[in-house]
Amino acid sequence: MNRRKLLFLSGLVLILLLLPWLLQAAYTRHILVMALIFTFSAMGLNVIFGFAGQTAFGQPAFFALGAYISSLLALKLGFPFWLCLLGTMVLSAGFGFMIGYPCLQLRGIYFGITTMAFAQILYYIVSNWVELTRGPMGLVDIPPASFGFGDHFQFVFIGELRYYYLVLAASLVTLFFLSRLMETRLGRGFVAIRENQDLSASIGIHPFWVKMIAFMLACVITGMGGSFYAHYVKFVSPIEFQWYFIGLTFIMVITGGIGTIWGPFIGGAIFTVLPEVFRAVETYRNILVGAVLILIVIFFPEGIMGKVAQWRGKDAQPALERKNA
Amino acid sequence: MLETQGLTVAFGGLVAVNQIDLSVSPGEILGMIGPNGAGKTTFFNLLTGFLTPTSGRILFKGKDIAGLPPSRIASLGICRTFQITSVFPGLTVRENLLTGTYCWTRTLFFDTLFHSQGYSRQGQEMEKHAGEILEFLHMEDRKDTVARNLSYGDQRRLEIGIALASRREFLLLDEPAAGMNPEETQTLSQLIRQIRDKGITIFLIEHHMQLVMGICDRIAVLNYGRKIAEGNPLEISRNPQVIEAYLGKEEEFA
Repeated sequence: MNRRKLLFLSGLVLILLLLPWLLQAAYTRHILVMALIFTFSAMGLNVIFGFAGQTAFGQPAFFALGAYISSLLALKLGFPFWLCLLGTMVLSAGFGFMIGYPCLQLRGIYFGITTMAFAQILYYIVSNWVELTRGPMGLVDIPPASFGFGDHFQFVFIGELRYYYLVLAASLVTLFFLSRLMETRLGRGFVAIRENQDLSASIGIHPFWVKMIAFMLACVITGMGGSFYAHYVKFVSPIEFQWYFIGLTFIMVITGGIGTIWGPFIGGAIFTVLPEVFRAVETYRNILVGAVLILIVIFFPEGIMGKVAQWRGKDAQPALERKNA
Repeated sequence: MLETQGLTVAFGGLVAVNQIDLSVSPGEILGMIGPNGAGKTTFFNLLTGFLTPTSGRILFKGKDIAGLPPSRIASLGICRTFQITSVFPGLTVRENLLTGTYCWTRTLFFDTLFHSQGYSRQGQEMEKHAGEILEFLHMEDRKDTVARNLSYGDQRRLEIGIALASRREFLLLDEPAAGMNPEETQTLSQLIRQIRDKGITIFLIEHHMQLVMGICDRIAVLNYGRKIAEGNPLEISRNPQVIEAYLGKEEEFA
């Protein structure tokens, strides 16, 4: 890792650590927490779409699914938070496998459409299985996130500030994990399949299983976001499955920088914060958000992080070898 | 090294490859020629698992590989290039070559997570190997060029480079000289010979007769899915059936 990159990253992390102290109002802190939570959705989509090149429209539904799994584990089984999070990750991977298995037999847009269909199926199951999910009434009274040992000691992540640092730590760990993953052979396999699937197969990469791993990993990361969401908002309903989020998540990934490590994180943060900033001019809110989106697409066609990579004297390269990019 | 026995594939009523028996010995350069649509690329696709044969066997080092997926066949020791230039367009030349090492490297997830010695050892080996191939292809000065910005000839060379990076012992080249100018073709001939001298067995499809006649030890000729001739370049160039397949029967000109 070169010095400039180290400087850039430490600066970014420092800003992230100080941000809730610069913006002290409970409401702005709440927005920051939501921004961090939604970055998981963007980071997850980035794995399957950005790295492995598969247009998975169903991915954001795994956010809602993660929220439901985590809530149900807490409400029905009384699991502590860390176990809910772990259980969500495991079950998200399981659901990813079940849905990925039929969908990944197809390529390109056909794959995308089938994932979208499965996302709709999940939505209908959650909306109609009233005994388990209470249907459109949603799940309420989800316990807050906490770590501890039984009754003796419990650290409860209550309030925006504590939760901010919890989710920030989790997302930084995820980013670190992803950046290292992309240095492995498996990470190169993801990128190879995005760039040229047949050539990948001819040099020994099994497209189906490598895509499957990417898909499951995307489900796990997105599901984690859902879990954090559920224990923060303490209420989940089928609205979380809305189509709106599918488009929004793609916007986050594309504006941030497809296939870069930090891009989706930044894109995710921007497009959660921006609509709130423009809330001051409610009537024109969506128009303004749209205008910013258009400006980003015009001036940063490779995404914000893609542009940053260019400024640092490199082509907008995919994250094959981050240490040099 | 590789042997096909009665290899056949039919698409509905069309028998694209019909009862082909062919064997490739270690260390040789075998060429395959034939008019367009003769089934040459289909034959390659069968050998590399991109198509499953209707009947017949493909023995690679004694093991029947017919119907295995391409990635499995690659891991057993066969690598191929494609008729239409096929590189990783968004990656640099160096990254293309590093990706090519997939077959013989390991994921080493935990080593990578903590950047252990094992990680840097493998990384160094990969870089070294990629460096050697760059030198071999005379492309050192283009190592940081994104593949899609390379000239056509360089892309085709990179394609061979990716195959070499995979360190397979058997290399299938599908029309390596297609679209190359005479000078580039000349360089390619030398390159193919040098690859063989590294101990890699080569099987190539080519329309460029000068290249085929110049470098192949043996040539097989396909027409309408059948093998109509096999032999050394001299025999092939005098074979009446081959001449007929390419030029038509003599009576037609009379």
